[in-house]
Amino acid sequence: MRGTVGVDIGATAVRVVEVTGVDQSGYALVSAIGLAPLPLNAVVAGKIRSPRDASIALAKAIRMAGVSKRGFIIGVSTPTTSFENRVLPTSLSSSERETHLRTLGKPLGSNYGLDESVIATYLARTDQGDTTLSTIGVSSALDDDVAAVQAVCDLAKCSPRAIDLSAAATMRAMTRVNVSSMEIGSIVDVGASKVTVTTRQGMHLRTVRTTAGGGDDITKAIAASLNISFKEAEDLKYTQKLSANFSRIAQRGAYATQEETINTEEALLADALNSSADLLIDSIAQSIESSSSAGPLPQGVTLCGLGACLLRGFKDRLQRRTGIPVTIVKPWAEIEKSKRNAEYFRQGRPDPAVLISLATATGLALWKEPL
Amino acid sequence: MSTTATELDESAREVNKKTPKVVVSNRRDIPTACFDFTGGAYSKSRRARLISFMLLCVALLVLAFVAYLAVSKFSNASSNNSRAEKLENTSDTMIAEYATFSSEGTNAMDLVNKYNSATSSLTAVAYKQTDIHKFLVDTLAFSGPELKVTSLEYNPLKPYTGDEVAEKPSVEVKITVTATSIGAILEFMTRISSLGTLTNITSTRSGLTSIVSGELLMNNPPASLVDKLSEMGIRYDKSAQAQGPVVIDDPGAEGTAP
Repeated sequence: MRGTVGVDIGATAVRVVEVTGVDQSGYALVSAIGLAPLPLNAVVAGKIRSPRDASIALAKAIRMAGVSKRGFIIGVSTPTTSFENRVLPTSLSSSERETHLRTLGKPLGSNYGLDESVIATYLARTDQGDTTLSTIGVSSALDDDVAAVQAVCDLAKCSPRAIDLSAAATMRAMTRVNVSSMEIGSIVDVGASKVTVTTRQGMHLRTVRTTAGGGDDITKAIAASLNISFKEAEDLKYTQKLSANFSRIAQRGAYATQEETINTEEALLADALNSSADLLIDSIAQSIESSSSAGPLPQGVTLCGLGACLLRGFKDRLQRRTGIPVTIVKPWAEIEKSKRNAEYFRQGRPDPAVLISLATATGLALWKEPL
Repeated sequence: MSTTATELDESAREVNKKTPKVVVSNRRDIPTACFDFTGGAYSKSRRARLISFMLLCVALLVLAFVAYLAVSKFSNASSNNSRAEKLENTSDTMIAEYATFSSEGTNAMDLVNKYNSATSSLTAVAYKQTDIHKFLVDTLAFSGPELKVTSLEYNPLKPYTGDEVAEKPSVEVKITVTATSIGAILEFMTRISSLGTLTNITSTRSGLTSIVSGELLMNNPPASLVDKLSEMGIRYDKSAQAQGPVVIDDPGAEGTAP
């Protein structure tokens, strides 16, 4: 059985996931996976800097997953993408909504005009009291960003069915909500070069904020501090634990003895790790707090993404900083056991790290035609 | 009268049946927020592609049908040609089969040669079905898609002599047939020649259609044919001499509605 395919172009890899359905418990059934690494700086903070490299990786990932080159759902997520809820007449069709929003002339993106925007909408809910009005989720992206995604697809000789907002896809993968629930929660997706904070109320999006900077910044800080390669720094990063307290500067420097040098290196590593993590945590906390402009603060924060969430102590530090309970969760997905997927299993269970890295792609594969 | 426990249970059950149950669902769903920054371009192009594909399929089907017709006509023509060649070579069997023509004064070989030259590519033309056509085909026990009787003229004027003929009138039936094979025409001619003398055989060719016509003088027409003609209001009558030939092309025109 052929399912829906989601494609996530991240900073480190292009990820392709085929979902054949959702089981009774709400778990998406992942039947095929394709992962193709990207060269450094080919995609930074969601912006595609090298469409050629991205297209090669896309073609490779699709081939690896053994899925069709047509009809997949691909995501777009850059710091310029925006989201807000607007109340519009229910009678407006999807295309009419866009015309209406353009006629109003109010910019949707924070630093670009309507003429540079690509607008997409979905029907969030119809007003209970007045059925002539509906809450419409409105998202806009810079036309260059959408064009870049399309260019990658064209170069890879692929044809996507839709270009979705990656933040919405992550929410679909990470969340299962009771229809009548109005709870507020935030999902923090820490990528390698960007962080997306998505706040939802019940089933619906409330705010989306994407900021540049992610797990790679911590790695770069370690590499610069210890004068080692990026790869070495990346390996070192996950062996460390963030201190419970916020960063302090190493005092000894170059005047240490040999024994002290080891300690100094440790101190430099700890300092680099803690100070860069602090910056990231601050940025995340600000995004969560800024979501309160649309209502109360979230009751809980869900942490995902491989950029830094698996860094020991990161969750606790974010919880301390925001004062909101933080949990690290894997997406609502199960990988189908097959010969092809054997490498994604660990001790007979799907590897949680793989599932977390595939969260956005899985959510994209759960896409449905917006109303 | 006291109410028993069983009755109470029964009434409680009735009340339960009537009371709507409030079901609190714990079902958790996937959030519905989905966007499409392409504005449904893929769906539109897919629809367009689907329509184009369907049109292409229809065009291919039509083309295939036309090609099939052309090929079948070509193969028929080839088959007829090869048959004609066979006839030209004239086997003994063929001569024996059409000996009737010879005995009636018509050279079978002339007939064959005439058909060969005229009917190399035969096809059916519009078939005007009248009762008499059907009757003739039925009477002659001839049926099949290869031959159609396309027109027939009945002339009661030709030759008769005295009362003997009046009782069993000779009739001249001018038959035009089209056929898809020479064999069919020859077979037909053989059958009808047993009913009388076949004369004035002509063949004309118009494009792919060849029409062979001949006159059959039926000195001894079968009683069933006479009856059938009588049923159709065509009777032998001396007074009909002045009226000229009766042409039965259109049953409606002759008042012989099918």
